[in-house]
Amino acid sequence: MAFFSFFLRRLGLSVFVVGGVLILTFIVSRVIPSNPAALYAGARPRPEQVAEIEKKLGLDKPLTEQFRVYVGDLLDGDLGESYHSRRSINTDLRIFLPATLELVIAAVAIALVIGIPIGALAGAYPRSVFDYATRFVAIAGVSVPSFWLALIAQSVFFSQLGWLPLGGRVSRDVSLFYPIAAQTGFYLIDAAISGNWRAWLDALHHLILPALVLSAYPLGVAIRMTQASMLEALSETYVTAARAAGLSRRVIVFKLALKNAIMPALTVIGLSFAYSITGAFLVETIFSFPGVGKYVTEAVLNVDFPVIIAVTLVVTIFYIAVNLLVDLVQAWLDPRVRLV
Amino acid sequence: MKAKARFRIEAGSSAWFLLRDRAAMVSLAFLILLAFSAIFAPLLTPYASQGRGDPDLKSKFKPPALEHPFGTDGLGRDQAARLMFGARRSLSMGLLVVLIAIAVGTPLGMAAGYLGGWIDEAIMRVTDVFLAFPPLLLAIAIAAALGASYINAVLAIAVTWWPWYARLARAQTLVVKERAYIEAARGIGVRDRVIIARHILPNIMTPIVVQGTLDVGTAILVAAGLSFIGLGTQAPFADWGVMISDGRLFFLSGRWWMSTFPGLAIFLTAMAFNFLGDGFRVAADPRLRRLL
Amino acid sequence: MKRLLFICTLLSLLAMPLFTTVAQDRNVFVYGHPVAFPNLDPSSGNSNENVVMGNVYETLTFYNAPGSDEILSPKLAVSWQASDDSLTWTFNLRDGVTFHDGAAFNAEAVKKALDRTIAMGEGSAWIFGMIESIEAVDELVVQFNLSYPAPLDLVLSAGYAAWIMSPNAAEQDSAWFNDGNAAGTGPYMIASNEPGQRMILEANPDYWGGWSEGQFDTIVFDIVEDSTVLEQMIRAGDADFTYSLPFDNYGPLAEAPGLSVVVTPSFQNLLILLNTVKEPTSSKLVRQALSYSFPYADVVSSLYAGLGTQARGPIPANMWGHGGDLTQFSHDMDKARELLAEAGYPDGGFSLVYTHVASDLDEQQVGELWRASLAELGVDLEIRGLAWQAQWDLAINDPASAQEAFGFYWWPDYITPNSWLTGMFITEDEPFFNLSYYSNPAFDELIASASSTSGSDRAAAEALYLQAQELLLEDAAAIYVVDLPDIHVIRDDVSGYVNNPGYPHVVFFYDLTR
Repeated sequence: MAFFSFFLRRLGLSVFVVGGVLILTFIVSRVIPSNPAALYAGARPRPEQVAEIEKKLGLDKPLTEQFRVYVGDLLDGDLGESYHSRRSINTDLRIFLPATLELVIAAVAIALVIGIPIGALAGAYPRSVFDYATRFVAIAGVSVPSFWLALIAQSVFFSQLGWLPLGGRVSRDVSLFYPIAAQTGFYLIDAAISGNWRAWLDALHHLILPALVLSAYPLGVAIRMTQASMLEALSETYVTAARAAGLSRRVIVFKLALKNAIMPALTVIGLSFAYSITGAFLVETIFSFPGVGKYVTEAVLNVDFPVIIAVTLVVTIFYIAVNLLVDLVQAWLDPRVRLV
Repeated sequence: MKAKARFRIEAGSSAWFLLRDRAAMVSLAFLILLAFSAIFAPLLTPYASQGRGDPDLKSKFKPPALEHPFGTDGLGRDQAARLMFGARRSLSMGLLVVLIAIAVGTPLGMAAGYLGGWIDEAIMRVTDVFLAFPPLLLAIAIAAALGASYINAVLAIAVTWWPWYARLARAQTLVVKERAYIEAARGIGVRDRVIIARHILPNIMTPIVVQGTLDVGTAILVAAGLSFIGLGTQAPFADWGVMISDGRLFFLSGRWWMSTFPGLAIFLTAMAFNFLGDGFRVAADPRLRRLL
Repeated sequence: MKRLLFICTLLSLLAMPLFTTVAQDRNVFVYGHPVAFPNLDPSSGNSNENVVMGNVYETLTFYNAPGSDEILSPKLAVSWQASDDSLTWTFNLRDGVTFHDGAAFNAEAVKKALDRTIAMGEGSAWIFGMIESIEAVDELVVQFNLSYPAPLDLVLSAGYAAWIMSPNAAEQDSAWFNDGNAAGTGPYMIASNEPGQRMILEANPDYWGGWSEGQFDTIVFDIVEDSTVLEQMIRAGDADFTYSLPFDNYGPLAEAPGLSVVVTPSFQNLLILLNTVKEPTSSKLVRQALSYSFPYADVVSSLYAGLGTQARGPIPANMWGHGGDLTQFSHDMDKARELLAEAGYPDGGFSLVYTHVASDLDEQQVGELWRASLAELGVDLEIRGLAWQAQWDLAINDPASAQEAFGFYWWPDYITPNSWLTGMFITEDEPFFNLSYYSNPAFDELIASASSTSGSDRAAAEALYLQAQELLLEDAAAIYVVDLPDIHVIRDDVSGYVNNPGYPHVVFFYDLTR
C-alpha cells in the first residue's frame, strides 16, 4: 500500500506542477511582450489589421479573462496558431515532435549502451588508467558545446570522409520514389511497418550523426552516474565481507554491476531526456533536422510566441511525465525511495 | 567560535587533497590564465580596438598565421583579440548566472529549511515548477520575451537556475539545524535571522561553492547556446557563442577558423570548471576521498 | 544492442551508393530554398511562399523582367483598357483555361477569387484598396470600378495577393491551403508538402500553354535554412538552384565547374531612416552630416562583395521612377565634420541608436562599419538588434524616445515608386512606416498628383516622382544604403532562366529546360 500512496502523492504533485507551468508560460507569453497583435500581423501590417487581430486574439480583454481562455483552449487540446505561418500548432507538432523524440531516444540509447558498461568498469577499478581516461571522457562529454560538436562532425563525416549526409531526415530520392507513409511520425517505425526498407535505411542514415552528437552529454552523465554508484557499492561492508570470504573480485564486480546498473540507468534516462531535448534545440538547426528544436529556434527568430510557448508547454509536460514514470519505476524497484 | 575552528581544520586537509589533484590544478591554472587574459586583454593584444568591434576591411578572412594566430573574421577583426574580449563576456555570463542563482536560491532555501511549515512548502513547490522545465527551454522563452541582450540572457538563465540552490541550501540547512549548538542558540533566544546568517550560512557554504564551481561551466555552455541563436551579446561586441554563430556560415566552405577556436575555448573552459568542481567535491567530502 | 547498432551503421554505409544511382526517369528540378513557406493561402500569403504561388497560380497581367519592351504582358487576361479617368478598367480573359480542379476559368471565377482576397483583407490585400466593385460583364470580360484613379493593370500583376484561385478553392479557409491543397491555373500543381522540409510540384498536364520536350515535370523545393548546407548542396549537384548564401562565398562559386552565379538588380533596397523629430537628428545639417559619414563604398565592396550598388534616392535602379541624375551622398568625412560644426556639434559628442532586425547579419555589419566611421566624428553609435516587431514598436510608440536610425528594407507589393514614397515618407498623423516622421507639404502634394496621374500618363507621373525625390534628398530624411542585387546560383545545364525582380526569387519553372 505504501507504493500506492506514494503514487498518489507523486501524481498530485505533478498535477500541481503542471498548473504552475501554465501560469509561468502565460506570464512569459502575454505579460512580458509589448505588442503580440503586431507580431501576428507580420512584417509591414496595416494599422486596421493590427486592431482586427487584437480583437481576434482576445488581447483587448483583461488578463484574467485571457488566462481563462488560454487554459480553456489548452484543456480542449488546442495549442493555438502560429503567428508566423498561421498553421495550427497541433498539426505542426504532430509532425515535429515524433522527429525529435526519435532523435532523442536514439541519442539516449547510444549513451546508455556505451556509457553504463564503461562507467561500471571504471567504477570497479578506481585509480586505474582506464578510470582516469573514463573520467576525462565523461567530463568532455558534458563540457562540449553540442552545436559546435555538430559543426565538427559535419566537417569530418560529410566534408572529409563523405560517409554520412549533411542534414535532413530523409533524402530527396526517398521523398520522390519511396515516400514514407506517415503513421506514428517515427520514420524508422513507419518505414518498417510498411516494409519500406530503402527508406528505413535512409532515415537511419540521416539519424546517425545528429544522434551521436546529441549523445555526448547523456553519455557523460551515464558514465559518471554508473561509476559513482559502482564505487559506492564496492565499498559496502558486505562486499568487503564477501571478499574476505574468498569470493573473487571479478565475480563480485560482475554481480554488482548487473544489480547496480539498473538504478543509475533509470536516473540517467530521466536526466538525459531533459538534456537531450535541450541539446536537440541547437543540434537540429545545424543538421536541418525538422524537429521541435528547429521549429522553436525559427520561432525565436520570428518572435512567434504561440509556438515558443506551445513547445515549452508540450515538452515540459512530456518531461514531467517521463520523470513521474521514472520515479514510479524506481519506487517500485526500491522501497527506500518511497520515503523521500 | 568552535564551529569556525572545526571548519578551518577541515579546509586544511581538503586543500591538501585538492592540491594533489593534478587535473584540478591544471584546470585552475588554465582558468587563472584565461581570467588574466580577459582582464588585461587591452594590454595583451595589439588589436584591442578590433576586440571591441572595430572593423579592418583590408585584412578580411585571413587564415591563421603569425600576425593573426587565430585568423580574422568577415570584417577583418583579429580573432585572438575577439576571443580575449569575448572571454570577458562569456566568463562573466557564466559567473553572473551562478552568483545570481546562489544569491536568490540560498536565502530562500535556508528560510525553507530552517522555518519549515507552510513557508517551506510554498518555496519548494515554486522550485518544483521551475525545475519542471527542461533547462534552456524556459531560458529561451524568457530571453525571447525580454528581448535579446547580454543582461537579459543572464537574467533568463538565472531565473531557471536559482531553484537548484534553493533545494541544495534547504537540504543542507536541515542537516545543520539539528546540531546541538544551534539548538542551544535557539534555546537562549538568539533571533532566527542571526542564527541563519551567523551559524547556518557558513556551514552550508562548502557544498554550495562546490556546486557553484561545477555550474559555472554549464552556465557558460547554456549562455553560449543562447548567444548562438541570437539571444545574447549584441554587436559590435561578441562572446564565444556569437563568434561560433558568426563563423558558422563559412565553416564548411574553407574558412574553418572562425568557429573552431571559440568552440574550443568554450569546451576547454567548461571542462576546466568541471575538473575543478570535481576536485572541490572530492576534497570537501571525506567519504569520497576515502573511496578514490 | 551494440552489435546491432554496429551492423545497422555498416549496412547504411553500404547503402550509400544505392541512392545516388536511383533511376531518374523523370526530369526533376531541385530548388534549394532557404526558408519555409509561411502561408500557402494565395489571398493572404505575402512572403517567401511566392516561389510556389508563381508556379501554381497565375495573375491577370504579368510584370516583365527589366529590359523588355513593355512593362506588362498578358497572362490570364489577353487585353485590357482603362476609361479616360482611369476609374473603370475592363479586362478580356483568356479562353480555354481550366483550374487544376477542373473548374472553368472565367469572369465569375476572377470576381470570386479577388473578392475573397479583398474580404479577407490580410497580407498584401490592401493593394486593392481602390477597387470599389468587380463585375463579371460577360463570360470572359471582367470590369473593375475604382474609387480613385490608379494603375490597376500594374496592381493586378503583383507577386502577392493578385493570384486567381478556383471558385471551389475560394470557398476554403486558410487552413485548407496550408495543408498543402491548391487549385490554380498554373503549369504546376502541389503534389506533396512536408512542412518545413520539402515540397514537391508536378506538372499540370492540361496547362493552357502546352508542354514540349525538355521541360521539367517534377519540381522539388528542399527547405534548408542553413546556408552552409545550401552551398554544399549546389556544389555537390544536389540542387539546381539556390540563393541567400553569404555574399563572400559567391566569388568562389562562380568558378566552380557546372555552376553559374546570376547577378541582377532587384527591386529591394536597404535604407536607414533618420529620426527627424528628435534631437540632434531633427537638425537637417546633422542628418546631412550623417549621410556624408556613411561608408558607402566599404559597405558595397566589402559587405556585399561588390555585388550591390550604392542607392541613388529611394527608388531602386532599373525601375520606373528611378532618377539617374538625382543627388547622391558620398563618404566625405570633411564635409560631415563641417556640417556637424555648422549644426553646433564641432566635436560630435552625442550618441545615436541604430536598430536592425536581430537575425540579419548584413544589417548588423552595416551598423558596425558605420559605427567605426562615426567614432571618428566623436559620435557614438549603439547598435541594437531586435525582432522586427520590437524594432517597429520602439519606432511607432513615441518618436521623441525612438531610435535615431532605423535599418529598413523596402520592396514593393506591386511595382510602383509610390510604394516607397507614400509608404515611407508621406506625412502620417500616427507614425506607421514613415519612421523618419518626415513631414513636408510640398512633397505630399507632389506625390498626390503623381499617383493620380500614374494610371493615365506614366511619363508625367515619373517626372513628378523625381521632383519629390529631390526634396527628400535635400532633407536627408534617410541614408540610402544599397540597391540590393538578386543573386542566384543555377546549374549550367539548365537553360531559359531569367531573373524577374518583380517576383522576388520566383523561378518560373515552365520556362526552363534541361
